Amino acid sequence: MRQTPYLVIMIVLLTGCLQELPFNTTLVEQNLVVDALIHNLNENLVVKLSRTLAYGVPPQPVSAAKITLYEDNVVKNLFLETVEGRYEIAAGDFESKLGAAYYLKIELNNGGTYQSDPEILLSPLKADSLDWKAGLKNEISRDGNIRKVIVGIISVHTDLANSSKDLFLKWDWRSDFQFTTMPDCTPFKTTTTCYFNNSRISKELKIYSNKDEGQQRLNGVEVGYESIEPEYQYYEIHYYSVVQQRISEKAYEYFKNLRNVSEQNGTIFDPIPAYVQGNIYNVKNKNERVLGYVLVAGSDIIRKKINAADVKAQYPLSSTKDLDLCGWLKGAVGAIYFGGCCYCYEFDEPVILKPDWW
Amino acid sequence: MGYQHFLFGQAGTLKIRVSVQTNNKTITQVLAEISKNYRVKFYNQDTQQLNRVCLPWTFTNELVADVLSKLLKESGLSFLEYEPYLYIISGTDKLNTELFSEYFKKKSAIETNMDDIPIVVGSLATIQRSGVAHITGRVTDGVTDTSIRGVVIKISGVDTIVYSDQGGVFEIHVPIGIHTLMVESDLYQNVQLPIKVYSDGIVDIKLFENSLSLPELVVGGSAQRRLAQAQAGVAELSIKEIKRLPSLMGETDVLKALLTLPGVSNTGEVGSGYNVRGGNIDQNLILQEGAFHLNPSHVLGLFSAFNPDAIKSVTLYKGYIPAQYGGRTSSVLDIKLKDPNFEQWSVFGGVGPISSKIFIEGPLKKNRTSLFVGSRFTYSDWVLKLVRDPNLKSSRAGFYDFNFKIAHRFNSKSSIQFSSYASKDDFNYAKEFGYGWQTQSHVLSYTNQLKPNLLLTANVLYSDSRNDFEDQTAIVRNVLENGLVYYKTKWNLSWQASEKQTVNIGLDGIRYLPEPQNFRATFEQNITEEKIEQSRGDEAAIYINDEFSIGKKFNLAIGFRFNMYRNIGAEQVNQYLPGMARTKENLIQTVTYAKGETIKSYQGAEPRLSVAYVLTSNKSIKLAYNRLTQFIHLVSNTAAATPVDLWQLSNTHVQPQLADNLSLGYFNNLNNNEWETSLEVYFKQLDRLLEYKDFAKLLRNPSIETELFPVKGKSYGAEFSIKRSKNNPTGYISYTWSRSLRKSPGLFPDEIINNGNWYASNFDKPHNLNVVFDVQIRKTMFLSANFVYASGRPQTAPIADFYLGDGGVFLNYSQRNSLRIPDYHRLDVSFTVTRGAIRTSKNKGSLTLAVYNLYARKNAFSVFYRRTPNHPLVGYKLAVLGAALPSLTYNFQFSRK
Repeated sequence: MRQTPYLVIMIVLLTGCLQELPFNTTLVEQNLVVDALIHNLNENLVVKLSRTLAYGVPPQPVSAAKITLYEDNVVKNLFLETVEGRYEIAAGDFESKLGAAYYLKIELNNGGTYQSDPEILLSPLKADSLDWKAGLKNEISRDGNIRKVIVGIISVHTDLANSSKDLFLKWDWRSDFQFTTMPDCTPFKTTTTCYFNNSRISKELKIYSNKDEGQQRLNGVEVGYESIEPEYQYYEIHYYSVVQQRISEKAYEYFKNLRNVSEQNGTIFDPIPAYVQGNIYNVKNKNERVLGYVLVAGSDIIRKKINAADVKAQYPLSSTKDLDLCGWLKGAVGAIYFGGCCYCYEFDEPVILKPDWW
Repeated sequence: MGYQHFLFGQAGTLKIRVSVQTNNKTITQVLAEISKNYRVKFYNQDTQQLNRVCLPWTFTNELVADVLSKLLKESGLSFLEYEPYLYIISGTDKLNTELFSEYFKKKSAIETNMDDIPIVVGSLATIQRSGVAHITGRVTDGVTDTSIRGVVIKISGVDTIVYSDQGGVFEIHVPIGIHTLMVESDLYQNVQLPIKVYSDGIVDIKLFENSLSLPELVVGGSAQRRLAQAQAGVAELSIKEIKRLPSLMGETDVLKALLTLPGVSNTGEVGSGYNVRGGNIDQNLILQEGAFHLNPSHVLGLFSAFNPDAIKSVTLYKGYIPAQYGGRTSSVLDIKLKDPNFEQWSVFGGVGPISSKIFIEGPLKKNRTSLFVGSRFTYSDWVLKLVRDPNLKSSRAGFYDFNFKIAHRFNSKSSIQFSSYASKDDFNYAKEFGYGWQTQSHVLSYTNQLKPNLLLTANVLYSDSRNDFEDQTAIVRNVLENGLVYYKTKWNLSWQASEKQTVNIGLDGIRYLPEPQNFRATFEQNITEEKIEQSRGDEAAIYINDEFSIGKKFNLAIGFRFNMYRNIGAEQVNQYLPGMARTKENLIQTVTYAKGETIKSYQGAEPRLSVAYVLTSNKSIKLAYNRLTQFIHLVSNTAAATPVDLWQLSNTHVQPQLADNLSLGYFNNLNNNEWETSLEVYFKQLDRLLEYKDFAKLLRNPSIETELFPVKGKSYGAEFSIKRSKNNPTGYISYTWSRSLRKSPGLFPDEIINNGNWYASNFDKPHNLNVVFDVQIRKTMFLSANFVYASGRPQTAPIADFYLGDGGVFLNYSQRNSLRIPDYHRLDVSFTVTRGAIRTSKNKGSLTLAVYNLYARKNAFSVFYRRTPNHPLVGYKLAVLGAALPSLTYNFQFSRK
């Protein structure tokens, strides 16, 4: 059902107000979460295993698992645990085969064995172009108020003319920018360029099905947005990378349902939410709830470079570079950072090596 | 024993004076002589006694009565004067037992001023020799000439109490003589008048509104009648009383008044529909003039779709449902429109902050043909224009509804009526999306009093409901439309077999013709239009309903209804592997049926019974049982109906719903019916309820059966009510404890909910409390208050969050409806000042100040969860009516003869 508008109607017509609600459920389920992506890009394959603990508590990584990748029912590779709960196959160790069926077998150290349903690695669909523009989005603040925030919106254009009608797409994207340190911070008055991945963004899930509409072209499909503030990120070079993934219908339905239950407004006009069954299950107990999905996706990447001039054409960036970037990067939220100079090595989490494509 | 005089006639008739001598004459001879000389006639029934020889008297210019008194002294005979110059002479005992009531024998009757007796039934020429006359009549509103139902008619000294029926008609057996006729109604001035009865006849009674009386609230009708009537679980709402309840934005709301009754609840602050005794919203038959409403609300349930100015009566059947009604498994809400005013033209109106209304009625030909026209309409756009948000400024919202009725009386026994209803809702948000729905229904009714105790009612009707949803921001701007058209006819014979027995027998039939779901691009022409055909069907039923009494203690209602239903073509029906789940993978073939061809048929009997046992004059117990069947189902996987929900007819894959309802009640009126108390318990068993697979696609799905499966349901509860309907102030308290549960054992994995255990329905709210209070401060000032408390509705809530991909945060949910949103409570008040509120006034007006949600309780309309960057998942509750909402409404009425 199309439920979201009814909430809007209620807010429009009446004196509405939002209040934070204490959450005091005693219901606890510790479910295994499998987050896996098998793709054709020249990047590592990654599987993340975790287990839910309780509401509001980050899931706990699951270590020491044995994860096997199968290609057309034959063992292809083994994943290696690189960080607690994170398992990888290096890009050089895996060569994908379009049209092959892939699945995972996961063996936990507690004896639990899980397996995913095989899915075909489909041929990727190339995006024609990527756009960036400034716009407005609603955001719920912690005090429950709905406010408008200025964001940069990214969208893709893709020609579907030669695609089959049963086409299902999912988009993932990332935001990277560079930052040059202040020369006064070193005795030799040198500068260093840091590269950051803006990984702290909470993203909306973007998927598309051509099954019903039967369109010939996707024009400017919005795949994500991020707040323009703080503005420092646009003073130098900013890259947006969009991965356009061609997925199975089953995967599309999974993510559509997951999005619906996670974004719904809880009104009497919403469908009753429920546990969303993915494509992975406990081999010995199929009634066990397993969260997540082993996604097999033919993928293509498209990037767009944004500089300060591009942003200023749509949004009045401040004219001076603000040292508070250091504070923001260090996690000082909404407060002035007085740390003075900052260096690339101080920022463990978001700092990346200069990418090959930069 | 001495002789008694029973005077029966007009003053002065006993002033005839005669002169006669009685020496050696028998009484017969003396009477003959008087008759000969003075044209006075005597009718006697005892010749032997009249042959006695008289004492030697000489009467000179004496009254006939005096002469007779002396002549009959010690004879054991009495006399009475039926009319001037005619006297009946008979044995005293015979007169006592056969001809006159106890009341009439009282001495005071002799002294009654006979000129003041306004009602005379029959004449001496047709005097009822049996001593008992059969009186029929009709009770009508003295101003509007519309019939009044449920009025109590009593005769002094006679045990029998009768009530006017839906047409205002009543009948009663009365001993001939002089009596006091007592007419009682909650809403009209009570009447006590002397009545003189000679023989069978007709008495029509006009009543006038009791506008100066103390206010009474909500449940109308006589307390005594409610106590003793056979039907259990019946509530009558008078529109006048509903108007007293504090309302949202000044809009009198029939449906919100229903929610104050025990056993009636809804899912939230707003939302279309209501739940009765644990039933789904689609299990309530909502009738207006015989046409059922699929969507009884405007603006998603904020306002009722019924215009209160056009309504005569509102009756909710939630216990015993008479066999005249069928097709739903929980309750029947029967809304009768009033008859147009046959006497005078009137204009009613009201002006409120977001809507106004106008209602005009009057005779085209006095006492023969009359009509009314009424409409309500919103102008809420101005509110949106005041908002700063540009999105809201460019939005629009509105609704209107329209009622029309014309009635013609051929004669006192037959009449014909035609009524129409139309409504339309429209909403558009910032050119992003819009929806609309509209309904129209037209009813032609004919009634004929074939015999004094036999009434024929027949009607035919047409109804058309449509809705649409436009997505204006989709990649291809599109609109989804659907609708339901149906034709219906109903024939009913009402036979008043006796004072204590009424039999209704009849038949009805419905043809459902749902419109195809139509999905189309709003502008682009190169997108193919998509039409999905819906199941069609015919529903028919025959029934008999008998309400009667056994002695003075037992009142019974017995009904039997036999339903027949068939799903008809044209339709393409999917067939699946036997014993397998209905999925795309198990589809084996699709069979095409021609137009009108029977695809699948169902039939079934519905026995119904209600017994009232009157323990004492103020105590009774009632037991009721119903078997009910439903062939049309609301397909909605949300807690409340939305405008785009579908109505699905039974077919090969969707079987009819079944319900068995059992209730038991104890009723006790206290302090001479000033207080009414009741305690009712009920148990309801439901079968073949429609449930939906998780994430079902219900719209634009040509194989919708793959998303549906049947489940079982049960509900039970206890309803307590105490009401004060006399004196000042009035009010009532109702409390309901109830549970409404569902169970899906399921044959296939995706048809199992909560591991096959019982789980709470979406509207399972165990505690419901309503307190209604109304006080008349002065003759023209009223203060009303309404307090509501209810348990929070069940909710399926997140129990954990998890991450997928780079930045995606998702929720893992609990089992179905295993948690609840916060409890709900609210207080509303209203203050009304009336002007010209006496019945002789031609112009009336009232000003009502109401405050909805007086203490600004922020009741949760919805509870949802959001995660913002750098913050954990947070639960929010949204209160859509989170402030005190005052309103000022002016209502007026102008009347001209």
